[in-house]
Amino acid sequence: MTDSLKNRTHGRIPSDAQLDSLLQEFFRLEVPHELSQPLKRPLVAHSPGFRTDLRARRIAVISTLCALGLLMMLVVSPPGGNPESSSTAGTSETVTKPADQLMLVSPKAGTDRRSQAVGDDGVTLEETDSIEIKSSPR
Amino acid sequence: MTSPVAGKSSDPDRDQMIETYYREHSRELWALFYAMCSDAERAYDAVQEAFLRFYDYRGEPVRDLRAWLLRVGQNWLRDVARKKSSSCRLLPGLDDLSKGQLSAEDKLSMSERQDQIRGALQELNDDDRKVLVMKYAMDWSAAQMAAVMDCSPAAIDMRLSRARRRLAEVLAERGFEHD
Repeated sequence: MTDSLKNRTHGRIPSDAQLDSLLQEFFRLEVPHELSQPLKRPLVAHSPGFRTDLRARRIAVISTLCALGLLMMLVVSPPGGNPESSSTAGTSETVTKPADQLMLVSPKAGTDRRSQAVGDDGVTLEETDSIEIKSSPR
Repeated sequence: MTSPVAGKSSDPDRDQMIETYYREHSRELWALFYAMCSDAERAYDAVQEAFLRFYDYRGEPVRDLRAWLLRVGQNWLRDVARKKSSSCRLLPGLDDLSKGQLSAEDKLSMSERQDQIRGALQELNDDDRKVLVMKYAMDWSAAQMAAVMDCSPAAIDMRLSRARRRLAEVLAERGFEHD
């Protein structure tokens, strides 16, 4: 044993027999016992058939979602745009009448209404609005 | 071993061949991967990964299955080493091996000894570590090791002798207490 080696070591250098025993015991514990069992092949993740099925499922789900989305758009369409599309259209007309049919003057008061004659004399609302009422002197 | 294998996904003959090869050579592959990474679990995972990738392989026929598996496993180890760092762990097999006869203190002591020896092995160069792993994990002869290392049995004996001496020195430097 050289001097440099003696200076470096902090413990005894094991003999060949001790080292043999040490390493045999080490690898007896180190080698995984699962190695002695058959290869466990995952049934799902690595199967090409599974990948094909997964893709088909994804396509089916996306198609279903698109169809549902279109259906929702048709169901939630605003009333009056297409009376035939609404199942309640006929019912609403018999129960409630539009406001302009109940009242002489429509609350909407659209400009087109104001320019139309409201009486037999042909006076329009615009004209009646412009009439100034003055008290006659006594 | 030459094995020109490539085939359909559901080829029972191919599957049987792979399983047989696994049964006969998985320990050897584990030893070689262990020599690379000094981590028993990771070496085992590398073996599993290599074989599972071969199950899914649909490329050109493989002439040297062992070389193919080694290459895949080594690449996988390299990728894992980049992403993770090795961590100290208690040996999961200690409970099985001791069959409940060891105390918790004894188990911890054994685990610490394993860590010390593992650390000493990591200080060796790759070839020295490889011959020690093949000798003591696989119980291979010099001739078998020479075939793997592509050298003569006499060169293997010299390398083995040098590796043992170097390991003994490292253990002594680390203050390892052996029975």
